[in-house]
Amino acid sequence: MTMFDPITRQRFARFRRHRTGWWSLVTLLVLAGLALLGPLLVGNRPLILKVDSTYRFPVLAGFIAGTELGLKIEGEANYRLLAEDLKGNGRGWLLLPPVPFAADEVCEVMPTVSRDANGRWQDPRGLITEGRIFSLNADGTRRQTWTIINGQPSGDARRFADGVGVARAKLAQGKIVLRAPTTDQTNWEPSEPLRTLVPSPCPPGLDGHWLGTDESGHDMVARLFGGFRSLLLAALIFLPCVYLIGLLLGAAMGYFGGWFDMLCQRVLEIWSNVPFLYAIIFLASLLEPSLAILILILVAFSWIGLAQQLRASAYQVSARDYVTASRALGAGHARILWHHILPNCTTIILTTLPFSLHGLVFSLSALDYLGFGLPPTEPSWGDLLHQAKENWHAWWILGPTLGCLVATMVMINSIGEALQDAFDLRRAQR
Amino acid sequence: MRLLLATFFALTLAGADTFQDPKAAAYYAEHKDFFHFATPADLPKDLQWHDGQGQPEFADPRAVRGGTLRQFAISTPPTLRRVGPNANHGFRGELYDNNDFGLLSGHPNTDEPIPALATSWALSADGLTAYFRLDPKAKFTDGQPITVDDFFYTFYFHRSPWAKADWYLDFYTREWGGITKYDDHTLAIKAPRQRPYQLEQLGELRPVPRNFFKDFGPNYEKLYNDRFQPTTGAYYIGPNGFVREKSTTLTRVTDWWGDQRRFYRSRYNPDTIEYVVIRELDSAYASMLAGEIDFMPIMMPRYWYGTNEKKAYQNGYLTKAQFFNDIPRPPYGLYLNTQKPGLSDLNVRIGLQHATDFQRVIDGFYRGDYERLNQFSEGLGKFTDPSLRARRYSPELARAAFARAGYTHAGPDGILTNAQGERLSFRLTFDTSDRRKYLATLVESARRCGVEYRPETLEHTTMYRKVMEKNHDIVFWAWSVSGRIPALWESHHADNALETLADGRKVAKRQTNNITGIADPELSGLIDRFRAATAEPEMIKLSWAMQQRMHANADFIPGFRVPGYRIAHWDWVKFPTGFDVRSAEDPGQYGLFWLDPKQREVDLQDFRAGKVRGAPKTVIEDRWRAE
Repeated sequence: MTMFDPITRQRFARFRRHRTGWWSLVTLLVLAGLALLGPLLVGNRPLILKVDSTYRFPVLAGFIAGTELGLKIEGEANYRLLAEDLKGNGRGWLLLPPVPFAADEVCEVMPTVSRDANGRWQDPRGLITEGRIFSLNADGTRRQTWTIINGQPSGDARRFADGVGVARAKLAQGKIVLRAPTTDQTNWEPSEPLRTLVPSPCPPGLDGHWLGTDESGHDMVARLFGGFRSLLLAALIFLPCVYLIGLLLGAAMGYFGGWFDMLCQRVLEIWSNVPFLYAIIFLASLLEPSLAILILILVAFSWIGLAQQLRASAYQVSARDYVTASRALGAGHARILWHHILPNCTTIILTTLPFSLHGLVFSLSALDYLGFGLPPTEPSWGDLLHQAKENWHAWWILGPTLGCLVATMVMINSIGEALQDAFDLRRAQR
Repeated sequence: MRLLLATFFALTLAGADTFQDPKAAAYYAEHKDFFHFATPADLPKDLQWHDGQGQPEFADPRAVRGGTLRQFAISTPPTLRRVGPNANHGFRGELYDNNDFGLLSGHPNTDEPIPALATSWALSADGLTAYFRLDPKAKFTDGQPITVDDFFYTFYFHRSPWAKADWYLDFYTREWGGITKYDDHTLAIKAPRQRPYQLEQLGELRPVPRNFFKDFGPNYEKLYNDRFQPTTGAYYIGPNGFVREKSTTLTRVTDWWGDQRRFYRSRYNPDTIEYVVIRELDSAYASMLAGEIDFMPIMMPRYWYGTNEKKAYQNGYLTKAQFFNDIPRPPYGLYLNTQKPGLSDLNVRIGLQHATDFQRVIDGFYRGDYERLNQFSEGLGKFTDPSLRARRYSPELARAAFARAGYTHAGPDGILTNAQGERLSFRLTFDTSDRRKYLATLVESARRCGVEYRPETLEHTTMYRKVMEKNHDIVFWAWSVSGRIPALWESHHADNALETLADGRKVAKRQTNNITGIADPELSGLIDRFRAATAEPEMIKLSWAMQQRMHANADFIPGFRVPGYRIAHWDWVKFPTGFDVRSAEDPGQYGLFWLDPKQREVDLQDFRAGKVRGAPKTVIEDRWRAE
């Protein structure tokens, strides 16, 4: 602490006294630290993989062809299935991250079904009211399917070969009423083992999805985590850009004044009257949406407020005696701006920071919610909120997403308030 | 001279009570090779007249008229004009296409011709001219009788630059050979060339109400913007029927000409049809469940299965109905732009066919309800080669095909590269509809085969523009289908793939429907021969050959086929035995259902009081199922 001057130390103490602000900052920093760990915490590549006495670290190494591990496939293995295989054949073991799903991974939840006492088909969630049960081939494609209504085979039953339907039957109250083709001799009695598909969004608790899955079959925890990571990444690019433009231009306007200020002001007035959301929707429809482009568009509209505030502040500071004095001593514009103006505007810079961040989180989520944001394979909280709106029954989408979003916003705002307290001179002097 | 002729025609036709457009008359006189005037005595004597009365009636005689059908629409149409700028909107089916009749109709179950405005017809021995006798009682919705002059006016109107309708201009110039008037209710239409289904094609001609277009002129676009063009159908939009961004209301014609006619009686039963604007599908679904909308399509799994938990269904007021039929359906799937690097290689395209797992999408997202599409021209009956099958998903086969194309080395991310270091990576474009939700499935399945799909979702019009500019790599798309024979010139002929610039370079031809850019001389040759063919056996042979060639070209990855339609309806909407006819794409198309307004009141009262009416009802009608 000794390296800071007394005023900074006082401010820090005041910041710490704002308890919610302080704890918000600690929590956010911890979360950001966890997010940095990324695939070590949430991902479908093992941390350690030992096959045939060779150790590998797929989470760091990246793609490993299945053939390298002695598997038949040339693509990447599904490590969750591989773990079970390895357990069976004793060739080795692997350690998966605590959440063993990647954010862009599509998971189909297919629990086995059984009959209840009355011979009706049920899955782990209960009686199947309307759905299908099926038997699988070794390659995971379907061999035979039955439509189940209220636990009974009813309606269509189909048999496939190489993914092509080769026979169909129609059942009513368990009896076959139609066979197509009529010469078909298939045995349409469902014989176990049979599975059913729990359609996405799948409720929590099945197949290791703590918070269930979203509409596309992505694991919700992985999705929320991924969304947080992309928000952090966005903030890391967004804030420096906004502050660089806003600070320089704002300080220059306030310091130089005159025709330069006049010109910039008029440009700003015009620019700030462009309706932000419409402009962004328009631009997003012209360009291919990606995180970088979205951030650039957001930056283009976000620096104005900051520049205006800084201008006012710089205007005030530049009229002070010490500025006149250093000018009289022959200091150049750059030196005055850097050593006298900007340091005296720190209050504004620091206190607006959380609110810029707040605006960023809000705008990105809003754009994704409206469907003008990232492609649907990219995790985002806004997209999850949109899904929640279309699937009211899926509380496991709405609840956690809303919770995360609100919590993040509240924490950022508390930090902002704490900073304001810390830098508020009047309060300090009281 | 022109003026003189006009005056002359105006004088000769002054006897008729309907308005005669002197400009139209002058136009007919100017194009004597197309518009002919003859007398009844000139009618050929050896004609074999048919009246289609041998075909079975398909409407349900139990149907009763009356009541208001409550429906919704995403918005009101931008214009009520039938042609011209902005007239090709999503609502024109309800306004015009399903609400208008030509000379003949096709029987929806047997496909045979049945009478519409014409009560009898004959085809000349050379198969080039068809003769029609009009029903003298037939009237437009504004009460004006329909005469042969209205059919003449069709050509004048659509060919006029004032209509601002390029497509119609081309269609009514190139696809018709001439028209002859014998008397007010007898006409002949000449074909431009020998074609299959000549009678059906000529019988499609629809009249344009010349009386309504009294003021047709250079300001047509503005003048007629908010005016409903009278049709020959049963419904019209009354003076208060169109409230922009609120509702569109169709009113039934009292004493419609069709009510006395076989094939038309017991149809189009509601007295009014009200389309309230509801912008969101989810809100419309909620309104339907509350009884404010009488029925709505629930194709999407989340609606079809979601209905199970709803009170209206549980308590026995609302019925879910699935209607299967075997009519051609839009070919949903991925269209590969063969003019792009990488995709120009046949082996890459074959690899992509094996690397795209639509079966997983059907099993998962569509819960096994849809069927895998096997090829572009499916559902065309004997014109479809049944032996063709979509290539199944298989990482091994995909990698083998990519290896043949030189993509053998897996990069650090598992994506295959060739000797030049080019990655197997393509932009995959979707629109922002519900379908974007399974984009992730396709991307992930492809990655297992060593291909990267870079996903992109665009707002629909942006995507349309991109594809028409031929800027896409791979796009999820479907063409709407009409007709029962393959029409492949627009989408597959080399004429529409490339154009030669002034400097001799060949570039992708923009604004054509050949969005895969396929320019295969053999296929183009087959398409040309098919277009000239008239004998059915030869056409079938050519059709199968075209399809086999298209399959070999592998520029279209077949996606899925929707095997019919699904709706949820309240029980005061009554449907005929068999639910609907074979050709129906939605219940409104043939208008066979009817309403019971009294039951509506009772049902809604009981439903809101929470009474249980009975067990949940699901109707499955598979009489016309494809397989």
